[in-house]
Amino acid sequence: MNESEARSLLEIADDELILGWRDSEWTGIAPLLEEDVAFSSIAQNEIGHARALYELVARERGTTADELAFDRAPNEYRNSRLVELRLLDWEKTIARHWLYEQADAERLERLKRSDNAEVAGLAAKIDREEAYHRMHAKMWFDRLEDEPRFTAAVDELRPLLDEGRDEHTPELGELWEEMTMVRRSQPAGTTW
Amino acid sequence: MIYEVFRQERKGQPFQHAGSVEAADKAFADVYAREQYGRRGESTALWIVPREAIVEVDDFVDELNRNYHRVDGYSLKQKLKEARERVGSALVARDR
Amino acid sequence: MNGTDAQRELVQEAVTRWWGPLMQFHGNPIPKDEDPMYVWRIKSQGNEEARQQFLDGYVPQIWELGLTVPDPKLRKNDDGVWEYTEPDWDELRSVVTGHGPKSQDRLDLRRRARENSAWVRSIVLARAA
Repeated sequence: MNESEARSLLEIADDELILGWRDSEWTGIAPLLEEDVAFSSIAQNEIGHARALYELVARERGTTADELAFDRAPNEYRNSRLVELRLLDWEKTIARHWLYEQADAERLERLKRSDNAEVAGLAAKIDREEAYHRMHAKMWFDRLEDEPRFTAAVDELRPLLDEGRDEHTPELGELWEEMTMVRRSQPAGTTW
Repeated sequence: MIYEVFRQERKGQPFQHAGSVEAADKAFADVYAREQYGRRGESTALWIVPREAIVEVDDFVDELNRNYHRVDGYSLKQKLKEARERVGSALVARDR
Repeated sequence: MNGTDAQRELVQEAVTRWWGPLMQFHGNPIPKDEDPMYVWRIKSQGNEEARQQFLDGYVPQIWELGLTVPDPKLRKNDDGVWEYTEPDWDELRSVVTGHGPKSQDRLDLRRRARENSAWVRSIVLARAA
């Protein structure tokens, strides 16, 4: 794995970690009780994917997944603008979910063709789990596609899919504060 | 709409009723049943059935006590006992 | 237990802080036949049974890790029954009936979320017919 591929994996890992965090904000307040379970479960999967990807890159760079995931400063993350926004309106969350899953599917297809067997293998595993996420996104898309506020949300969010990886909003900073609070309460380098 | 969920623990085992999910349509029922009856790997397969598709039968009638339909319906013990007694008394009568 | 002294203190502080609610968790010692939750098979055992099982499982581990529990009376007696300081059942009743320190905040959040997502439910249910 070369550094360029490592950076590209980090992009995906950061996307999944941050999106997983945002998705988990619906736990307890989703529109339907069943959706509370489903969406929380998806959030868990995303963080699981992030972890697997961080572990791959960590081995390459001689560090640990935790250090990659949590010890960078907010402006060093490589996630897209789309995933870092707090979007606690259901039409926006589903618009993001639907847009992201489609783009991620294409991204995973490319990764599955990697010369690096480990990367290709992990991409295939993640892709098989993401099939369920895509199913869920489509389920909601079919339900909401005639709803003006939903189509407006899709149009508004689509440009953010691959933007903002180098320049983050204050929202990512807030998320990072919360996410790394306990870890930062101890000196750098403390093992957990 | 209510969908009843049946789960199969391991391949080859019969599907057993596990519970129900409330969902707007088949697509939602599929997703929610997976979450609630399969996300921890506890099932190899699920059957998801709209409750209205289920036909319930609970009016079994047995007015005439049709024990001849059942394996335990014919009690030979009593008949054998009577037969032994008949044969026994016939032998005694013959030998007298 | 591994970790730095500071990390161990974090764990101990958490155990100390959560011990009260943990002891209340399984509910007051109502006989199971008088508990609708047991009668309707939502619970599979009585509250006190469940609490005793919890203590059996976790207290030895807590002590083995070198942590303490903020109840000087906690001990397993010769009959194998855990004795402890009686939890504050009035406090529990107050909290579960919506009078806890965070109850209104939590309920407000859920009410707002429910209002904001009413349109979702009406769409999802409308096309179900």
